Amino acid sequence: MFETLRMFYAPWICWVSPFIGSILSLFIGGEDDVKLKGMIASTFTGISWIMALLMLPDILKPGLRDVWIGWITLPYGEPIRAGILLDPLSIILVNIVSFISLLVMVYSIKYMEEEYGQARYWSLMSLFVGGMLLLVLADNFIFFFIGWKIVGFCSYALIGHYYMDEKKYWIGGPPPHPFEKPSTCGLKALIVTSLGDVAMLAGILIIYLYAGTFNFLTLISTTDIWMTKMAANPGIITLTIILLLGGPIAKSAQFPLHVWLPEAMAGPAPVSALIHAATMVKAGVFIVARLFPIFFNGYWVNGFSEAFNFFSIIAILGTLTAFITAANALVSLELKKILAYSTMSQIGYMMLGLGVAGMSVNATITGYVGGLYHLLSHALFKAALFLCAGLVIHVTGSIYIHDKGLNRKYMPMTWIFMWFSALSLAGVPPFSGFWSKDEILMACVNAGQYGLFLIALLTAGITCFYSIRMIGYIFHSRSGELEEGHGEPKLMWIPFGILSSLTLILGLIGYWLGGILHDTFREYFINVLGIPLTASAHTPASLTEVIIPSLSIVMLLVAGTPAYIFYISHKMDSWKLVNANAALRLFHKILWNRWYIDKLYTITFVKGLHLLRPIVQRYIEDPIDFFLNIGVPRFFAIMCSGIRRIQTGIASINILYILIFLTSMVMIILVVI
Amino acid sequence: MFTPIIDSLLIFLIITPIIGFFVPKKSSCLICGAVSIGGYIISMAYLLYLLPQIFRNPIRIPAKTSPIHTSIMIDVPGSLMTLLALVLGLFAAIYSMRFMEKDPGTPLYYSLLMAMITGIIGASYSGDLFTLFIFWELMCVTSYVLVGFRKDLKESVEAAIKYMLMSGVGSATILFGMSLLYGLTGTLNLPRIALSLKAGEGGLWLYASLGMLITGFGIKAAIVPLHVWVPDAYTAAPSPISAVIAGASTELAVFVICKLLFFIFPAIKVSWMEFFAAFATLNMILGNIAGLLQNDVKRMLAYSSVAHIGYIFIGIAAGTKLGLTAALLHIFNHGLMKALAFLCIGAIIYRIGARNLGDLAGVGRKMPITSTAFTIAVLGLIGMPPLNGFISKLILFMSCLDSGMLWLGILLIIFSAVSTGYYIRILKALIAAPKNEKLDDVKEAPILILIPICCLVFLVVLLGVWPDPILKFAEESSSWLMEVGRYV
Repeated sequence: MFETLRMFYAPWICWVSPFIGSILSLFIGGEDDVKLKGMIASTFTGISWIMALLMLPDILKPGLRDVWIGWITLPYGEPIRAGILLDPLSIILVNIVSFISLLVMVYSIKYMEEEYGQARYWSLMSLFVGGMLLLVLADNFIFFFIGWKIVGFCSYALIGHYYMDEKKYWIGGPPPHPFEKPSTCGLKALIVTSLGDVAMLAGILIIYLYAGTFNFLTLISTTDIWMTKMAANPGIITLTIILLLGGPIAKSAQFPLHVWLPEAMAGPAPVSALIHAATMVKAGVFIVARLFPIFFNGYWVNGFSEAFNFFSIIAILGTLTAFITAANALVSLELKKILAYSTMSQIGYMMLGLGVAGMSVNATITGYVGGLYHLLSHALFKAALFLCAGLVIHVTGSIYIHDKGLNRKYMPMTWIFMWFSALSLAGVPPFSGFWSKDEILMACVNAGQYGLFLIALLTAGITCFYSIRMIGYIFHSRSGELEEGHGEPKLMWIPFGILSSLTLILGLIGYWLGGILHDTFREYFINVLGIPLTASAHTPASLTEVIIPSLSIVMLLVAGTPAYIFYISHKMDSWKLVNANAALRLFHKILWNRWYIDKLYTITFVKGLHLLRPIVQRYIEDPIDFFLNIGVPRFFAIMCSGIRRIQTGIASINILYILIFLTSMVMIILVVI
Repeated sequence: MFTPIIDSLLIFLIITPIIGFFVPKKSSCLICGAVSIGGYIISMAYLLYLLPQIFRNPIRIPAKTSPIHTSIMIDVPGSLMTLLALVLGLFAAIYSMRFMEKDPGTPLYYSLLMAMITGIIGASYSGDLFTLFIFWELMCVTSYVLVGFRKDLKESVEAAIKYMLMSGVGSATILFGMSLLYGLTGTLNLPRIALSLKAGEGGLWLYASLGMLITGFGIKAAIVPLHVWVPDAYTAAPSPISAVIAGASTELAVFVICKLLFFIFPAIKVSWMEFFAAFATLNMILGNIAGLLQNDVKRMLAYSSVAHIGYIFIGIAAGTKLGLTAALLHIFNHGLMKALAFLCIGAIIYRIGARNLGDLAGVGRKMPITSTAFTIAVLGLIGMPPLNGFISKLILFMSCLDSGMLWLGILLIIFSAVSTGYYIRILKALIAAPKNEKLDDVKEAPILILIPICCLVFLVVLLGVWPDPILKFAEESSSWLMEVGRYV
């Protein structure tokens, strides 16, 4: 009984329950009844989490369960099934997503107390979680894509939660610089991610045309057949890979589609926490990990050289993003924007890990595990950081770090836990961020990608610098410390307390945890998916095992010392340094303008389309407009009044119709036969 | 007597007016409604209990058949139709408990409604022409009375008379066609007729018989130009009756046509495929275009029914197993959606007493649940995913491709688009005009009216997001209809 619940029903209940919560929280309770609605949404997310926990034992003895029911059987096609795929990957993800979502929900009960739009907020939050769980658990592209779009839609609606665009919710600035409104930010996210979604859908359809199935497992096991067909036309595999990766690149905010994430913080802080830690940007990493075996099979087992592009693209884009956005975080003044940049940078690391995992058989397990391990630790500390940020912004009423000046004595919990999370972000041992980042760096070296390794190492240093800068500005600035006591509501600090304590705990057992994940995924790849990892018995040279962590610790010290001097001990002023040096000033300006990428997009796509508008209107729009809005209705109106004459309403004529019908049928039959 | 599925309805249709005679007039509508619901539930429970058995083998009553013996044949295709009829009958009965409370003679009303449902069930389970005709007439006669049930309204009496005249002619032609078939084959039993026609009897008289039968059933099925009674009758009948007539009894006529064509007349398939392609085109054109300028919502829905019958004929015209599956599926889905739409407009009529688009303006703010349900029904009729209308239209389209009639499939899509023109007007009327002084004291419909509406919404959405069970059911039904040999 319990076993059937655990084996069969748990995954279904897991993803369905947030959907139920979404519907109930929409209809039950008044518009201002935050407690009730919040309780409903949290309860159903809690159920998901319990179900996710029930699935957890399966991770130690990796198996593969594809539980499905028939969904629709279209004639001449393979039946499309509503299926759940349970493997270590989905189980880990489900646990992370549901656990963090639950804490975020609990936190929001307090946070959202005085905001408007309760019904909308709770319903969408639940739907957001449900969509993410659906996409993680789906065993085929169709259901995956449904979840994917639900997530995309909810992110749009939640980022634009303050859709009335009151001035206090604007982001950007400070004053000489332009501001942006929440509704615009939501729209930006929707447009950029939809761009990726469309590309991805095209990729999925191309795969379907060749493979005739949407199922992930079938795609893995029949790679040799359908990829051979694809390889017959050179370039198709590469095209498919690029299209498919469009989705994760946009969703996970990777270069060049990363521009939406910095603005995505316009919504309430819990929304940002969900987007960054649990439900949105992680979806991209997940799908890359999900597709990984397919292309791994394609390149390493069946020898289709084009399949290699999958790995090189994500590795290079990941590294680029990690570096570019980490540099942006150096100069940002908005607290949530720094966190957003750091998310992109960390996701870049995960992509890098997954990428190098496919670039060499030596690095496969290390890279894959590194990507997922970093996903886990990033989810914990980033959720914690956003929840802290929410409280900090709530207390000080300012979105900038330089005019916070909080006194740590009055907010001890926030101070401690924010430090924990920031250190984990910086990759300082013994926090979990250190171990996971280390794993990725190790994978780079194992794969022989020294260039990528150096950039990643440099980025680790930058990360450390901006983490300390952020905390330093908030809690350790000398100027005008706010003296009055601020409450730290329990409902708010306990969630992030749990999260940041967990990063410490996971960090303390980090080395062994990594080992467990290694064993699980080695077993999963070799025995379950049946992918032979020929060189997997490879034991990393003991020298690298020591050198890489030492290198990254050295890097942390190199970057952390100046950060400490500038922002905590205040021995030197960073602004003076920058203003004194022209090169640094220029660099600051470039970074402040985000490498001018946004400007470039605005000029090409927005301005360019504006220029095209009059021509399009004159020659395309107007004729269509005339045809559709005047021609078609007139045509149908005439036809309609003609046809209505049949409908006389006179009984004798009606009977006459029967006679006409019968005789004309008889006549036709007589003539034809 | 026949089978518990039919018997329980027959017993309750006698009990209901007797109970109605003894209870006070004031509460007779509620009490009789509740009693009649019992009949539907027993019947439905028994059907669901029998269903696994039916899927293995049809049940014959009586077990031994002689050439002229009447028989009931409980088989898979009939069960599909019965399920639809019972669901709609049950919901119409629940709905009427509030909707008809002000009308006199409600005990009789429930009894007639049950008789109509009995007729539909009997006709769909009939194993021979005689049974088919008897139950068919049971359904027709009761429906005349029900359409004209509000006998003090001129409109409804007029519609009932027109309907009766046309349908009476139809019954006569049906009888004529049947007698020709009997003369040709010497038996009334459907599988036997099929077998003996397969052996090559017939000739020209076979065509004559087919023509008669199509005309007769076509009147009920609203083939253009025999559809002229539809707008009047649907509009004048009380809304739950419109729902049952549009959702089940018109569908029954189409179902019987399917049954006759694929069961008895497969030998001359090539000719009737072309006829039905023509009927489908005519129905789609007339239904959709005449619907465009209507202002009366019920009339608009009636024309949309004509159009939807056209879509179902596409499946028949395809003539393949896939086509028949699609047709049966659309019969079921359209029945649910159209009944839902009629119940929703009924709820609005119940509250505001008007059914013109102009009077509806702004009702969406006052009756949110009804309006949401109405929107879902209308979107389903348009064929929006993920509602059930989308699935059946998709399979209809695929069946066209499959049998090489691409033009018909394209017409289906074009006219679905045209039909959006008038469905959208309903939606616009529901949500337009945030303020409408006339509607200030309008409340949401009462709970007994909302229950059937919500259940139907649930079904429409469920069969859209999880279509596999009903798709399998329709597929199984069509395979039974296509293979006469399985019955013998």
